[in-house]
Amino acid sequence: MALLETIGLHKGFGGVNAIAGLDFHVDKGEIVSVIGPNGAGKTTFFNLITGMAKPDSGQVVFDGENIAGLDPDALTRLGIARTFQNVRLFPNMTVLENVMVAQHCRTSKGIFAAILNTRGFRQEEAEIEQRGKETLEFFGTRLTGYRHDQPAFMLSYANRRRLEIARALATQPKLMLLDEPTAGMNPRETAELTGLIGKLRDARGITVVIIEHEMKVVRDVSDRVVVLDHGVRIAEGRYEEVTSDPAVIEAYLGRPAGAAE
Amino acid sequence: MAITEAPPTTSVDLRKVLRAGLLGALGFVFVATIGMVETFSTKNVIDPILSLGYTVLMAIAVWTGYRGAKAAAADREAGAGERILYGSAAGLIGGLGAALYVIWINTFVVREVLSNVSPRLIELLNLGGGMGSGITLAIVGGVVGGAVGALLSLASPLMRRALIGSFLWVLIVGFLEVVISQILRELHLGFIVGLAIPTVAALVLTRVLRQGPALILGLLASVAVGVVAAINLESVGLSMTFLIDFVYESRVGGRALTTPAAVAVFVLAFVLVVVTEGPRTRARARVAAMDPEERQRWLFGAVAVFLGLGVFLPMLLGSVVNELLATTGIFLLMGLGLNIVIGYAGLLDLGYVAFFAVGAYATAILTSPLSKVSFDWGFIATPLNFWEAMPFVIVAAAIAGILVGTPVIRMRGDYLAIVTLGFGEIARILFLSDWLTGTTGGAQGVSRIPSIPLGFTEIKGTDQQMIFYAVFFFVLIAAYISWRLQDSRTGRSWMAMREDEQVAETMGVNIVRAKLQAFVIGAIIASFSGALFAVKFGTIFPASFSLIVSITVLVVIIVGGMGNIPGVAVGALVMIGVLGGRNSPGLLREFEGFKLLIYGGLLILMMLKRPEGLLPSRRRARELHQDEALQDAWLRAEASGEDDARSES
Repeated sequence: MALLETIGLHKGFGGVNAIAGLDFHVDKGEIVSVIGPNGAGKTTFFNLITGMAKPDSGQVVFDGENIAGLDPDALTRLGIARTFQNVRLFPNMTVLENVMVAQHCRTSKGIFAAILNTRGFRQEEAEIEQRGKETLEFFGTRLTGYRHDQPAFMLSYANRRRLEIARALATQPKLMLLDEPTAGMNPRETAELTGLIGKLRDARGITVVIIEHEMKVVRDVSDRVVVLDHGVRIAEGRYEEVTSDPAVIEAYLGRPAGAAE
Repeated sequence: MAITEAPPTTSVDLRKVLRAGLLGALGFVFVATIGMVETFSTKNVIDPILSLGYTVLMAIAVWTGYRGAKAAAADREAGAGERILYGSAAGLIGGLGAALYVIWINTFVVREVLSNVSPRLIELLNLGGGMGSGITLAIVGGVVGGAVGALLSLASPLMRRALIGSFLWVLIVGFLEVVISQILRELHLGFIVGLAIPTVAALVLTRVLRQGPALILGLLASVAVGVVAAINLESVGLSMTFLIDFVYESRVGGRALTTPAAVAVFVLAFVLVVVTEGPRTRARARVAAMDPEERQRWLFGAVAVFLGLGVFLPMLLGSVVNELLATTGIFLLMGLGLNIVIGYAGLLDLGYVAFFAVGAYATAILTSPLSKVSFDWGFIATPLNFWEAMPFVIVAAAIAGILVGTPVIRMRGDYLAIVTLGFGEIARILFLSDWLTGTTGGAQGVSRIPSIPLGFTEIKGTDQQMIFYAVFFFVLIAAYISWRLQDSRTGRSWMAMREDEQVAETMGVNIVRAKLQAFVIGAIIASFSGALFAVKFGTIFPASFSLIVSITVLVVIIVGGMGNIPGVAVGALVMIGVLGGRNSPGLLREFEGFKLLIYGGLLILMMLKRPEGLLPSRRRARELHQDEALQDAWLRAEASGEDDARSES
């Protein structure tokens, strides 16, 4: 059963159609890679699903409900979380605060509870902190211990990427959208993260859609690969099928010189 | 000239020395021409030797010499003699510039253009004599001051700090004459005991107890004991007035430090700085190494001492200083509110005065017997008293917060600032408008705002001590609210919004809600401030709610330290208490005419040297010094890494 499905999704910027009638689906428990050359519309696609951009037309169905046009915070509450291509943490908040604030939509105590310091408020704060620490443990000891109180800007590049995933994880999502999670990582870190992406599904039951340029990662994690170009799906299938598809090769490398139209 | 005698092989950048000297000359001309020297000359710092006017000129000379000597040492290690040489040279250049100025104002009548170059100024710069003595004074003063500055640059950092610090203490004791002599006059043994009991109790309780609530209960009990002790022992007397006669000399321009007292203060401060250096360093190290729980306990202790001071000090201060403190508190209250809006939520609101005005007008209209608004609901009827009006004031402020907040939900940064600035002006003009004249009284405003009833007594607007207590009470409420919210779920959502609004939204924060929450809470705190303002003055006019109030409050939190509650308090004390706010002279009355100049200068200096404010939060300091923070972290990791390696082997 499809957890997320887009039907005839369309988004234009001025005269350019970033997404032009895209049909896409991801089943519950699946890991799907979205690949495509630069400017294919991959990040716009993510923005449309997470509400950061509103589609011009078409439907986005999540868990049997049309969610096109909802605000990002409402989508997060429904269970969609994402990371960003160019890491966007809250740099001056600590590592722990980053994952604590992400639980905002799963918690409820407001201003009055905080001012009166009620039992419920203290309990919830303790739970938020506890859950935050547990979430950080997803990456072993890399983000634990003294790192809890370090501001996010102090982290190394790879750790920032990890923290961004942890922060998305802390929103307790059903669907996670990872935008180039291994960009800028060295081969060892990439391999480690590849394993963790599998763990997201196997241990936590989270469905994952991932944009990735690193073909090794795509091969290792994906159940299915979807190739976009100019805002439309040009191929779909297992990794081996897709990578030998002439249309895909053409999209990436261009048409061979002198080939007939 | 001294510079040409320098060996040609040196790599000393003579241009820097020249620049230091010229800057010094420029400084001299500036403070003389704007009238600072003349105005300040009426204030004696040390009687009868030194007036504030000459102190400023002297400080310029010393600073010039210091910079000159620094320039000499910048490229390589210059010897002591060379440093003094270059320092004096810079002083000489400055002095020559000053001498030219003296010749100029002695020769030509420039008063028609530069109205502050008065005969009195010329007389001051000539040191009472003719032009010759003026020129001599300028040059000799420049060289000597420069040499002193150079010597200062040679001293060890500790010594330099001690010398400058001690001199500042002499200035402070001289300036705080009003406060100190008032305290000494009122200071009986009883008060000392009364103040000591809660302070000691607070310290002991901080050590013994680990919980906040129990601590506060215990503290309240000990404050009660302190009050009783103070009242009973007051009859015993033991006056301290003999000290006043030793420390201060009465003069026409107000009282000034006597020479023996100035020496005593200088020596005492110097010894204290030097002797406490070790313990202070250790204490700082200990604070840095404290775990959060221990820090929390000390924080409670500090709050307890602050509470004790807030209760006891006003009894000693007399109405002048109490009024100053009350005004400071009114601005502090606004600062705390604005700190939530800007410091926590990052919403640059330049129309904050609107909420202050709403609080003041709502209080005035509902409580004044002259008000044209009247209703009678059986259980409640106008004119209300202060406490009955409070719920209406809060609701009015909340509505104002939503009205201002809603249209600007999608705006950020500069756009938000401009639009809110407009809203602030709209509020003032609305209160002034014909449309609302029936309710708000137009330009006449609302008068006869009654005092605050307190059951057995009342807080009159003219009773400065009681007004201060009322302000203090509301400041405590606002500070408590700020403190509770800072590390709550709401506070975190504000912080995230300040960092990156779009990402905060993607992480599940409802931006509309979070922004309105910040606006409404900020508005309510400002309305408290407005309500107290109305009671304090008894009459309010639209003119009291102009743009400059918003800007003053913003400057208070910028100078103090945005995002930090004690920082805002320090900012209010410095900007309003010491320098003085709009229409309210601060402690330094002599600065009144130059207030805006000093405001501007201070703000520029802060932005260049310490953008995080005088007393910033750790977070803000780190944010504005990311490079240093990164380096620190790297060094610490390096050090701990070595430790690890050693423990493993």
